[in-house]
Amino acid sequence: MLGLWGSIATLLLVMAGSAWAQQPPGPAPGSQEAGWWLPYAASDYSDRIDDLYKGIFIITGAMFFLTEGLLVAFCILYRRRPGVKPHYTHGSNAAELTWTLIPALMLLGIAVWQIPTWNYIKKPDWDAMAAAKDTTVVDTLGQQFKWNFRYPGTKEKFKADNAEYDINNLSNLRVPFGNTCLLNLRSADVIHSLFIPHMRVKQDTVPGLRQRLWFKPNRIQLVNLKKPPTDTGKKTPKGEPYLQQDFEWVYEPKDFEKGGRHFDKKIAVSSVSKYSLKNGVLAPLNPAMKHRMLHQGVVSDGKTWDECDWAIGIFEIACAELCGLGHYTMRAFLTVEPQAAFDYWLKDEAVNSSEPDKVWNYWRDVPKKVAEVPEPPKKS
Amino acid sequence: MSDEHGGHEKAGIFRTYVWSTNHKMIGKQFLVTSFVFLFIAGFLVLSLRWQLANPGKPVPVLGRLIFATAEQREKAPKDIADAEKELAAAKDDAAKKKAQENLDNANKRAAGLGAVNDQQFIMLTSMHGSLMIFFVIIPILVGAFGNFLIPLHVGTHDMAFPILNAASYWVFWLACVFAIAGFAVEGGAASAGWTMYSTLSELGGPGQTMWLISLTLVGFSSIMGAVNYLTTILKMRAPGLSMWRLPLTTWAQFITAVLQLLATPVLAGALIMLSCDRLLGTHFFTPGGLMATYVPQPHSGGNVLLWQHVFWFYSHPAVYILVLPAMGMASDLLAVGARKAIFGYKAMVYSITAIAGLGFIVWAHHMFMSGMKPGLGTAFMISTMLIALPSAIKVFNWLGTLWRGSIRFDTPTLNALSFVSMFIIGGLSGIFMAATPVDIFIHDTYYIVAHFHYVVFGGSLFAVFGAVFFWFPKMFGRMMNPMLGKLHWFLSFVFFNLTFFPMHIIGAGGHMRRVQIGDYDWLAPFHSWNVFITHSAIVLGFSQILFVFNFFWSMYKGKPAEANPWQSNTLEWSIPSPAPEHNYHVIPEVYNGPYEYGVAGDKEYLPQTEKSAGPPAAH
Ligand code: HEM
Ligand SMILES: [Cu+2]
Ligand SMILES: [Cu+2]
Repeated sequence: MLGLWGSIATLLLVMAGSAWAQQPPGPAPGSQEAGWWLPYAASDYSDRIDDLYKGIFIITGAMFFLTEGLLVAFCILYRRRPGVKPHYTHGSNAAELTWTLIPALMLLGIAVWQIPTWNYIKKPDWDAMAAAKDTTVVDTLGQQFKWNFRYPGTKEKFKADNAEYDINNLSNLRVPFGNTCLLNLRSADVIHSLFIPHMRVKQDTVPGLRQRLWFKPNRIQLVNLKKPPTDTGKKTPKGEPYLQQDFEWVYEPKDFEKGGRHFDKKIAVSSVSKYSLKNGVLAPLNPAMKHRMLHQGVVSDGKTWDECDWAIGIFEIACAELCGLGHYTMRAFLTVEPQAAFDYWLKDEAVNSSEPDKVWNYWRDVPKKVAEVPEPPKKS
Repeated sequence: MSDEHGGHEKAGIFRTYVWSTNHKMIGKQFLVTSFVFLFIAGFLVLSLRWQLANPGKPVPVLGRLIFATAEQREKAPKDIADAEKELAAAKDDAAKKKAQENLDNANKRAAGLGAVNDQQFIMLTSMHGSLMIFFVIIPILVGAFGNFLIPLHVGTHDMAFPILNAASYWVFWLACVFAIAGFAVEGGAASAGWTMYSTLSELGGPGQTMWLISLTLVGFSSIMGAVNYLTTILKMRAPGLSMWRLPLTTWAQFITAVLQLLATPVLAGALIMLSCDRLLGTHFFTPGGLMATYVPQPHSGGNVLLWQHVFWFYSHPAVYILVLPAMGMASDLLAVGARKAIFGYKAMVYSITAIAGLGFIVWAHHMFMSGMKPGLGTAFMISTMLIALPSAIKVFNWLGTLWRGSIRFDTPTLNALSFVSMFIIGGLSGIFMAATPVDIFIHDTYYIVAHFHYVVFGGSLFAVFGAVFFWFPKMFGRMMNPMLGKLHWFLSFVFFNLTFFPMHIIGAGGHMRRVQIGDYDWLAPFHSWNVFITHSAIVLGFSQILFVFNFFWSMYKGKPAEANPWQSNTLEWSIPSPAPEHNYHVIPEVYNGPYEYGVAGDKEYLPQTEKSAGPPAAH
């Protein structure tokens, strides 16, 4: 009897759950605030991961209610009562068979179901991807306690003997919207783990090994600078209120092109080193600082913050693997921005970085023998 | 303690309580030692939680003593006095401003004295994990209960090798000394996580070396214990006691001993290799071209992932060492509490065996994000899904055991029921992590922390609470106080869930483990959860005082126990409480399996030593 009720409850749960799983992927706009679920998803395969999570949540949720429900029910039904003798049995093979086969099938189902997603994420055609026009390749180096991102300054390939023109962008990963981002990962010292929660990206960087990972951001935020942020009621560790800035999701790169919804907007696209993202609010570090602004497809420099109406939302990058006492400070940023803004930044940066970062010369190739370890770089 | 064996000289206090070769005394020694470590490791993590809830604030009461050096304590008031003097002497505005700044800083430093600093924070996570696993759960489950129960359950006088048994404890004791001494060396104890991933563990200070020595000793102790348990169970069973008549507790200890015997040498090998790297200049786990803060390191040729492979090849089986004995004990407690035979006794044994066997081929599920080949990830995903199956079978059999039972809700049963319900949650969250794409997101987050606390604390530790309560009469001849026992169970159960359930939520939100929130903006809203968790954890921690109080108080003041206070069938209950020095005056003859409850006739249960009057009642 109980088993029957349990099965019915399970069935109902599965049905309710799958109805819920049919919702469009990704949380509703405005749900930037951390809640009871995964953080908002913003990359190509993040939705697939979230769907798996949802599916497993439903299956395990059903199993949870079934087993815990039976446990509680048995505790109530079969509590000790005078005159009621326990039933004498050592088990039943039919029962064993049932509760071996059904979970086995469920587990097997889950196992098979996820393989395509895993392969999609982990086994792309790397060479084709690297060669594709709409792929941005970035060399990434984890180091106690910062992330270095290197771009080929000439927009050609990285040149092994000519690293001066490369750009080392500390703690700031920039990717043009619509592009695939392919990261070559290395570590200088200990294991780190590049974690971009909203992209559903995590990959350890292991000293002595090279790793690759890719993701394709498929939505970005436009943060409204003119509307005052609202209080979420949450507090930060310092006891300050955690605010919520008004923002809009952008799904299509062409929205920034002529005729697009955001073509006419005045959008701040400065280097992240000029912003701070704090307590949920994106703000300039210093009000007097000049910023770059994207307006009608053109980037112009030297604007004040007040001249911009919108800003590109930034995502945080973390280190997820314990890497020493500064582990928790290993924070970096991901800016996904319109192509025009990215191109402007890359050119500008290439012209202006007169002192190339020696770290990259040094870290070009992992030396194979001790004898090949080059001189440490001079302190500049 | 009375000596029932004629011709034995009476042992002195030293030989009885300290240098004892009696399995029961060694079991108690393990038990009490582990309790001490339970409190040390608990204190470590409460300090850590305090820092998460109140960043930069000194840990109450003990903080200034423990997390600040004597030098800092002396310097703080001096600094303030100096700054005040400077302020008073300042002439112009600029000097005044500077002096005021100095004073503010000095005050701030003094106020933050006794807070956990960054280095201490990672040391706390690392040592909490290491101590809880290697000095609390394993020694309680295997050292204490394995020792105490195996000879009783197989119906013999003592372990096969009593001296080896004592050596196992004293090597463990030496390991404890090194573990504690680690805190005293320069730079503090080990701080590369309990997993000690190379190359961080290679670069760390001498505390790391102490940790390595200590764990190597623990490994040796485990191996000695395992050899002993296996021999005792295989060779010294009482007449009539076939393997299929062993209680599940002892079956679980048997399988665990096999695991330990096969896996621990791998750990020992790994530890010795890492020690060689650190002390003798080998490069097992360090590649060429390492650079620590721009300083090239003279290493070459090693492989960082090799450490993870050997470590997890031991440590995954080790997580089952952390739970199998608890499963066994919880099974026995449930059967006795429900007055019903274990449902599917053989299925239980087979699934324990399956878990142990599969446990050797799932280790790389801890390494899905390490950059090993994706195909390997898939293979290990499938084996991990497989290992969830025997766990599920066990859960259903526990439910089957309760079904149509006559459950009495005494403290051991309550704790065993908690074991089952918490283990379910931990097992189910394991499925999320086994799913490789999902693990991309939740790996190294609080989700993992929630998972293993549900299986190890919610599971194993609750089983231990129940088991201590259950076998206390056989250990000390007195009953523990049931009121206190139930109160402790209730508080632990409630606050355990309040502490660890929210970790699923912040883990799903992306909160990394082993971090302070720091500047991460998307983590800031989780602060309220962190505060909540910390408060719950503090109550949970303090609730354990009830247990320890009950333990020691009952040792002297508890109600004297009868031989068989729980009406249980297994052999140990056929002798007086506390168990005499050499257990069985005459080696018992065994006629039945251990779970004959609710049999026909006027007997409600049938001890293993009694011939059954007739055939068991029809089904
Ligand atoms: C249903 C069975 C289980 C499954 C499918 C499972 C699966 C997993 C997986 C995939 C991980 C790695 C997650 C990651 O780091 O990303 C993990 C971690 C862990 N599991 Fe389980 N698990 C199960 C049961 C258990 C049991 C019974 C225990 C111990 C009593 C246990 C203890 C642990 C521990 C301690 C860790 C974390 C190790 C660390 O990174 O510090 N698990 N589990
Ligand atoms: Cu790091
Ligand atoms: Cu594992």
